[in-house]
Amino acid sequence: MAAVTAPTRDSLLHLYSSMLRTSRQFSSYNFRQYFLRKTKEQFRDIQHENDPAKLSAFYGDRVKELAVLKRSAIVNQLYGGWKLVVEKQKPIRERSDS
Amino acid sequence: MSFFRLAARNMTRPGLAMMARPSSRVMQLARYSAAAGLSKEQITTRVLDVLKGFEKVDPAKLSASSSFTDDLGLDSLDAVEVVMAVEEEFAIEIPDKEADEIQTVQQAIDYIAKTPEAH
Repeated sequence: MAAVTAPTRDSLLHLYSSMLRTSRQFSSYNFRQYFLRKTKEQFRDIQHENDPAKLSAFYGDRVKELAVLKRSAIVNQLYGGWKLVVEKQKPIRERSDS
Repeated sequence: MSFFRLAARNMTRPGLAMMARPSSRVMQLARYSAAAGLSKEQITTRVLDVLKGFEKVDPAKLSASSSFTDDLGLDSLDAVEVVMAVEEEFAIEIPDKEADEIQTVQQAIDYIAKTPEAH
C-alpha cells in the first residue's frame, strides 16, 4: 500500500478550532458540553501520535464528524429549549455606542 | 362636501406625525455619534480574566506581555482553546489565519482592539 501523507499540524489545529466553534453553537447545555468535552478528549489522545496512517485516518473521521456536528448544531438551535439554571448567565455588556 | 373634509384630514395627519418625530430622531443621532468600542483597559482585564479561567495557566506568570507557549507553558491545542475562549468572551469569530498569529496575550488584546464588532 502506498504511504499515506499525514495531515499537517496547522490543518489539524484548524479542524480542532472549527470543531470547537461548531460544538459551541449547540443551544442545549448538555449537548454543548458533551461535544466540547468529546472534541477536546479526542484531540488530546492523538496529540503525541506520529504515525501518518493513524493521523490521516483520524483527520478523515473528524472531518466527517464535523459535517454531522454542523447539521446537528443547526437542528439543535431550532429546538434548544430554555437555559438551565446551571448555565452561566452572560452579563449584559454595554458599549458607549449601543 | 364630505369629500373635501376627508381630503383635508389626510393632508393634516402626516403633518402632525412629522411634528412629533424630530426629538426622538435627534436623540438617536446623538447616540450613534458617541465614541465607539471598548477601552484598552477593559479589553486587557477581560482577556486576562479569560486566561485566569484556564487550569494550566499560572496566575502568577500571567501578564499582558506573556506568550502562550513560552511563558504560560501552553501547547498548541491549549492555544487554540484560549483563542476560542477569547472569541466567546467578545462574541466574535476570528478567522483561522489571524487566529494562528495570536501567540501572546498582547496580540490577542491588539486583535480585539482593532475589531470594531467586539463587545
